[in-house]
Amino acid sequence: VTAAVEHPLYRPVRARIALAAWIAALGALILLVLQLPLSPRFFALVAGWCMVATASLHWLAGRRHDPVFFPARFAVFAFEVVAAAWVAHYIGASSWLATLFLLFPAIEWNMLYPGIWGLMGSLLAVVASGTLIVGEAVGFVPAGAVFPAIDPEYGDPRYALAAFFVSGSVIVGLSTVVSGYAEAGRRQSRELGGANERLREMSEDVRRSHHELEKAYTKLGNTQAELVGAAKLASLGTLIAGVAHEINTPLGALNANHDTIRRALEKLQVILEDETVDEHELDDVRRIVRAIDGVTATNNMAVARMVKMVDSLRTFGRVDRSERDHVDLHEGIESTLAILKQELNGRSIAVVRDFGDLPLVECYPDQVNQVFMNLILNGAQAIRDAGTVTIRTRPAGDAVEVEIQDTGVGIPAENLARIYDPGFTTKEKRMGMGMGLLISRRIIDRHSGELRVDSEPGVGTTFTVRLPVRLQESTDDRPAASTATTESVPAAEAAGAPATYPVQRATTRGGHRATDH
Amino acid sequence: MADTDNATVMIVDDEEMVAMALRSFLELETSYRVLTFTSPEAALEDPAVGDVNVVIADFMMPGMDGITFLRRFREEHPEATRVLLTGYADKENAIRAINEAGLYYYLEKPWSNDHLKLVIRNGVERSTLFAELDERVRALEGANQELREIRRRLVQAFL
Repeated sequence: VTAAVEHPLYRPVRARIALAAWIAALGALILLVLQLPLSPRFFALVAGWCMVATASLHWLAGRRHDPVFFPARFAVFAFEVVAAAWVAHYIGASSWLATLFLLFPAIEWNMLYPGIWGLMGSLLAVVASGTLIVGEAVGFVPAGAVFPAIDPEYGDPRYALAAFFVSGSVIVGLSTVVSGYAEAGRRQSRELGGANERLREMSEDVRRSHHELEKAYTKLGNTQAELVGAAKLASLGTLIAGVAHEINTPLGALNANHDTIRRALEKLQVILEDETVDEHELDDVRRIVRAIDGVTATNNMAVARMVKMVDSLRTFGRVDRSERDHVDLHEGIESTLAILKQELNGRSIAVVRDFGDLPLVECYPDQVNQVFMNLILNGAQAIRDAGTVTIRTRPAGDAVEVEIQDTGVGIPAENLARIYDPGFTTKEKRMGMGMGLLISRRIIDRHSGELRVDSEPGVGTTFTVRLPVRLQESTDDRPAASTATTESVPAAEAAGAPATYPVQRATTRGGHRATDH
Repeated sequence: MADTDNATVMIVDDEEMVAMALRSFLELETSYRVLTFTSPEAALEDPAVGDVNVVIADFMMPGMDGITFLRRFREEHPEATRVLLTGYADKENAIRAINEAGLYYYLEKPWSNDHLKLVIRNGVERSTLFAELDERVRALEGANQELREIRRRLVQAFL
């Protein structure tokens, strides 16, 4: 804001010191020329003039003299009060006149400190010193108790003149030093104030940006939660569409068969209305009964299919037990395949099961099944026309591994690092929203498992899920009991934090892989 | 062939229960000969199929979709009226089916027996009418051929 403070006595001060020196020199010259002795009376006069001049200056300058340096000001004031008393004493003025002299510092003090404090200070000074001076003069205070009794010299106006100059130099010098320090202090405090202001602004900026960051953080968390929720809804949509289609077929058959049976019964009724049944009609009856028989067999099939579907759904969603449990992962895989049957069979995708001997795995089955669904669906959707999805399971020490391999288009190396990014998708819009793998990875992370990917463009992709047999839930982020629950997601996770992503292990393999068609 | 009561209806659906439900209904309500297949390849390769008046195919089948099947079936059996029965209705596939397979009707699952019966009866009628037309055209051609032969002989006799 301002230039650095070089010295308390800033530039205009030097001019004032020069002025004071000139005045002092002039005073001394007068003393020399007039050959005046330096008597106490002379000093009394100097002090008196100092007081008068200071008061007058302050009077004239008004409040432009900031009362910055209070102790210095007070010292000057006290000095003035005492000086007034001395002057009054030595010029031999009456005690009443001396009291009037005291008005000068009082006025000055009031100018500096207007208001109640100035007034009180002035009154105190006037009363205190007035009491002493007047008291001595009237004999109330013993003579010589306050001021030494020195025989005054009267009448020489030369003293007054010399004293005027000497006091002038004292005043200028004193005020220069005082105001110099005051100005320096003001400057310093101004600078400090400026720096302080800047600091305050900076801290305000920091606070504001912190607040904004916080807001963004919250928003990010919310968006992430919303996305996860939406993705869950989307996968729920896939699930429902699959189920609806799967149920539609047996339902269609049942619906038609119901109508067929009704018709058959009507026909039988018509035939049986006659008392007699001839050979031709008997043939009809046989035909009708055969039809009913066929229809019933079909109905059995349809009902069995629907029961199986509902069973699969229950296994998949673990409607009956959504808490952690020891489960046979094959069951979950089978139920997932049953739900995705439409997606797979409808598109000439063969499913190969290469199941090993797995122990029961402690996990949240509904969540793990969601991972299987995401991965199998991804595999199926990566296949353009016809292809194979191979599901391999095997025990691996105190863990199990489930490998889901497709013969799809594969993932180019440059995309491998991004597959877990929220919203990253290469599918058409209607197929997904790019959250499946992120959700899967999070579920596996929470199970303290691993999700690895190997992919070769044009050959296919293999996702490997590794789950510990005994569930060690990672961190405090306990899996939600239900897949329908939307959880809030730590924004750090949402933002990527790629270092913690197991995708670092992702590799693109050269050469061909063994696929079992 | 002209006898609509003895027409042949072929049903191709990978879901046995659908094929069976259709067969049961048709056997009860009509006197058509009903052939059911759960695999489109088997339907194409079966040598005992003979003439087919109406062919009803499912859309989503493993191995071959209904549209491809109907297109290929038309090559061998142009006389058959083609019907697609689908649980997966979308405009794109409907248009494809009509254009590629010369589809007569597009039925959605779940179907209504009455509607199905009507579609099949119309299909059979259409097929028999085509067959009749075909027969008449052939008869006409035969007669024409005969006339030409007579004319040729007449010309020969005169020369």
